[in-house]
Amino acid sequence: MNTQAYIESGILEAYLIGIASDDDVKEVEAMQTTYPEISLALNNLQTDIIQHFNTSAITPPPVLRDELMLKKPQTEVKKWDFTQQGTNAQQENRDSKNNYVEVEFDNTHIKVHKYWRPAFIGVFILSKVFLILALYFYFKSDSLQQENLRLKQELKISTNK
Amino acid sequence: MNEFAQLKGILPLHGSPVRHEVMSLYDAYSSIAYGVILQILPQENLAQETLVNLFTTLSVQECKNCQFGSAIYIIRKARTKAIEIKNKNANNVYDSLIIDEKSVSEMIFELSFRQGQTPEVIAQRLNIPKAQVLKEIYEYFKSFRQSN
Repeated sequence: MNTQAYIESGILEAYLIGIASDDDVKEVEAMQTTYPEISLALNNLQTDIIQHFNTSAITPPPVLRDELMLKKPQTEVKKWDFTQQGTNAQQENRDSKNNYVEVEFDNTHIKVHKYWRPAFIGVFILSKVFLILALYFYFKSDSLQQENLRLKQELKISTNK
Repeated sequence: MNEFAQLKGILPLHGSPVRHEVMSLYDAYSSIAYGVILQILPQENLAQETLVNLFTTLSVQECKNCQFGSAIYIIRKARTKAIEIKNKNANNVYDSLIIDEKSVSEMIFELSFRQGQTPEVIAQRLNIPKAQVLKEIYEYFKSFRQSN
């Protein structure tokens, strides 16, 4: 194994900055345990990478620190692994409190998507339009019925004469 | 009463050891993280939101246990978070590359680190082998070392 060529292949840089594929990550982790020079190269590279990103470091506005102080730390939400292997692993600590995100329940309000507002307004306007149309046609049909009745009576009177 | 309020998340946990550790990590690495995030998300408000989100969701234990130290852990996490946000806000993506002004290694670093493309995708896109993509990343850091 030519470790120098491996070190110069760029895979170590990709591994450290987090752009390596899963297979490459496994490969580098296996290689560093087998070859001490690769482990050493990774340690040296770590310093270079930190130095590289230090050159582009920008101090964030101080207000962000205060904002962070006021925020409650959250834990990353882990999704259940539904493969057989994952199910077996999770079955053991299924009831563990760490597997759940605590949700505050004292809020009586619900949040809906912003598109519900125009949808609701649209439905409301349409219902009013249909109501007006229904009333209009109701009164129109009523007046037509009365007119019809009146004409029938007139016709009856004229035929009797 | 205060303890109860803290448990309910009403009051910030100023005195908690976890909070203290998060704040010391923030003091030490927020500039690096903010620099990384800004490289990926040039919009300042989005970058600031991402930075706060990064440190509120940070696992102190994972950070401490990272084989290559907290700085590398935070750089990786900052990049992942920023790319996640960038992909969510696809309209705000500034993906155009000014190829003329960059060397191949700079361009490949840009595509992989800042735009979140995998070495496989870059190889396909540039019609070069994946080994060449990784080599260019090596060259990118080598040129940085030589310039210092």
